[in-house]
Amino acid sequence: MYRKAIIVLLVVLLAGCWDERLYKNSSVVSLAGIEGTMGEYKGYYAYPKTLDKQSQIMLIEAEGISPRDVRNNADLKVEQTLDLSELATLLISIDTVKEPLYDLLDIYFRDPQNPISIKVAVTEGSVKPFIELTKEVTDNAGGYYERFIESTEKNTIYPKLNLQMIGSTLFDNAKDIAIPYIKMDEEEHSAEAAGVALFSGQVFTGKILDPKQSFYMLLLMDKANQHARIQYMLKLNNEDVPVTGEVIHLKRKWIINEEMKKITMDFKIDVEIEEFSKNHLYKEETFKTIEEMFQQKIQADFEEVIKILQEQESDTLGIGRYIRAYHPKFFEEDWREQFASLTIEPKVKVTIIRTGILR
Amino acid sequence: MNKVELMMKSLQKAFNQSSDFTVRQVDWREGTSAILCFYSSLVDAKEAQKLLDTIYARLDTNKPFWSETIMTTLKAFSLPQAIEHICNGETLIIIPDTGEMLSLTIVNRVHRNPDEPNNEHVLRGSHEGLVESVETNLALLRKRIHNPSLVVKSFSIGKETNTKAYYLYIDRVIKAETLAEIEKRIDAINIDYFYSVGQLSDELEDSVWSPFPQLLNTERPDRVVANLVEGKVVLITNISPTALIAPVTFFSFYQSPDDYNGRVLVGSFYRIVRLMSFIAAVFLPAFYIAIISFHFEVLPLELSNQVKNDVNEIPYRPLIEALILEIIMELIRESSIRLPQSVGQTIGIVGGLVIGDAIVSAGLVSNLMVIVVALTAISSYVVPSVELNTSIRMLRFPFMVLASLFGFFGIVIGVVVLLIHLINLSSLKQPYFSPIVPFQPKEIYKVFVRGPFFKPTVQVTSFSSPKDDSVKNGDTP
Repeated sequence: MYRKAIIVLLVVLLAGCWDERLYKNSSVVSLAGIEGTMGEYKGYYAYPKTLDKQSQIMLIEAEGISPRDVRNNADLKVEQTLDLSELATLLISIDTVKEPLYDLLDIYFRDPQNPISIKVAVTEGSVKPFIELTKEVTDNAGGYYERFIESTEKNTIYPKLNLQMIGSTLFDNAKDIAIPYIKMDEEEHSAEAAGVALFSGQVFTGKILDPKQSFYMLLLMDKANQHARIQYMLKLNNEDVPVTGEVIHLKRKWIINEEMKKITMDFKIDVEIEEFSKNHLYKEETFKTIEEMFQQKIQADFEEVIKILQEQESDTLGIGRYIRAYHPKFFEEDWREQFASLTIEPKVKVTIIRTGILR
Repeated sequence: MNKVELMMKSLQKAFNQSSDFTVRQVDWREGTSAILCFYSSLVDAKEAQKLLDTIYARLDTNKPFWSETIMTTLKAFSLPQAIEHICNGETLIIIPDTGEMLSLTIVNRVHRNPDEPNNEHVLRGSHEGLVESVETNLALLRKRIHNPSLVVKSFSIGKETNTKAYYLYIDRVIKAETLAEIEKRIDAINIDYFYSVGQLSDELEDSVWSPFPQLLNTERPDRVVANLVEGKVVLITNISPTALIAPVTFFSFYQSPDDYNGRVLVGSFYRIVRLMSFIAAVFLPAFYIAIISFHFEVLPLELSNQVKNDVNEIPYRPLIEALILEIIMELIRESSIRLPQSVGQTIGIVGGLVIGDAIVSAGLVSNLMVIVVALTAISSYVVPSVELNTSIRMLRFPFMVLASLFGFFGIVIGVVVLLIHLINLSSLKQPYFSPIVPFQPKEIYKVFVRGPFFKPTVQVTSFSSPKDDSVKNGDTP
């Protein structure tokens, strides 16, 4: 009995130590980057290090044949254990995503200690300057890009995405993703949100939507975030007047005509005028003119974005999912080709419901 | 040797020639003599003399009830009874001729004023406190309940010490099984020398080894009365100001007279704060240890840098680090109880400033650990009951060990074991974790909120949930 108790106690006491990961013995990586191609990947890991009470960002570089190998090699260069459980952002070079994206992400899903609510972004060229940039602007590398991406999401430039959502869409053949794209502003030496990278299935199509286009893509997706501002230069009485409207409500209706292979998209957009430097906005005439001009311009931009999406066979709007659910006979296995051949016709109706506190 | 002298000898012998035992021969009616005997330490001599004068004045008038006053009784003499009376502090006049004895109940009562107890301060409401004398205590309680249904039953504890004790209840409010149970337990008390209330509560508790007290200790008469009207039994002894109250639930330890003296919203708010403090006091250090050694990914990114900086240079594992501080904390507490008040402030400075600040600069523990331990200490002192306070502070140590071994998983195991224990526990055979087990949805809000005061709550008497509506708690008179 006594002996048994000791054995049980020992087993219990030993079990805990196997799982223990002391915080002080881990290097907590908050920003990771990867570039290169299969067989010769290069990875970057940024973690904070304290010297004389002064925290600074350390950058570890490693090479390897696979993402896991890169991480193992990076671990060799760190005095403590490399720990990715507090990772906030993952940066991927634009050249790397021309190969299937999931190859890079697999290790993040396989290990339960990796967070999957992190942000993912694609960078122009190598990721190294982007990571090195954080040394100057912040003491929290991953947090910088996390905030950067989140604030851009709020302005309806980037779609609301995290690693988990990307992972689940990658294997859906009826929907594609668009991943935030960051480029370097060489003059000011800072990162800049430069639209989204369009994916067709697992691979990057090579086409990047600029911020304006990606904004209209998000409107098409009915994913207007906290701020969704439409801005145009309108010609009123032979005068160029900049007008800004904020999207308040957006109603979307898809009408699918199976025989004619045509999708009509009805959009009803309610906007609030946020900028209009001229007077007399309240006049029925001005009102109507602005509404109509908005309508035309938005429709033209919608058509442009849809055209790009169809050219790239990248169904980021999720039309495939809709058709698979409501018109299963119309849905073909090779959805992307079918998507490219569809006639998609957006119809926009704009109503100005508010004019700000000025009339 | 005449009869009187013989008797005096035997009395002296019975009291072992104790110095404070006084035996004197006095003159009695028509040239006879009587024996006056008493414990000089127990008798108020001045008052006794006055009474004796009255008796003397009546003695020769041959009135039939000359001996009867409020404080005197005449009885047939027997030695054992005489000894009992004298031990109770009465003055005895033994009349050998008639074989009678006259007892004068004038006891020199030694007790302090009914000041507010130091360990149960309230902001508003009564500031009276019980004292070390049953009679005064009963007076304080009777003052609050002018009703014959407040029943006081006496018994004595300690075969040798014969200490006076009482149990009180309110007739018709108390449940019959509660009364039967407490009487059974009082009968079963087996103590030779009784000198501490702890002995009594050990004898009366359902599970002595449980960390949770099953009897509520209080020194406040208003708290006693509040519990009496809820159908509880109160035990008071002659040697301690502490009243023991049973049966109680876990949540009654978290209620304070302040809740009811204040207003409804205020009382409810502070009751919730107190219940939260239980969680903080038991789990906070364990939670911190678990995060630092197992699950640091739950820290927000903004905080993680700071925490990492703090923790990096600490030479010990988090458990040792926590134990160092916790033990210092307990030492400060223990020493501040013993120290006289004038020196008490020194401990505050030594403990708070010197140890708190210096221990961090010395690199023994991290800043955050100091915050955690300080917060835990403050939370544990929020409990209005001293017993529960000490048990809570003890409880957090096993949780800390579990957290250092298994992280959150260990804490969960600990919580499960703790809950199983609490659910199983009973106070006077009545559920301790009521109203959660047995589950009473209508009563459960009272745990968190002090509702407007209409009716007192009575604890359910059985572990199985009451089915009939009429048996539910609401039916108190």
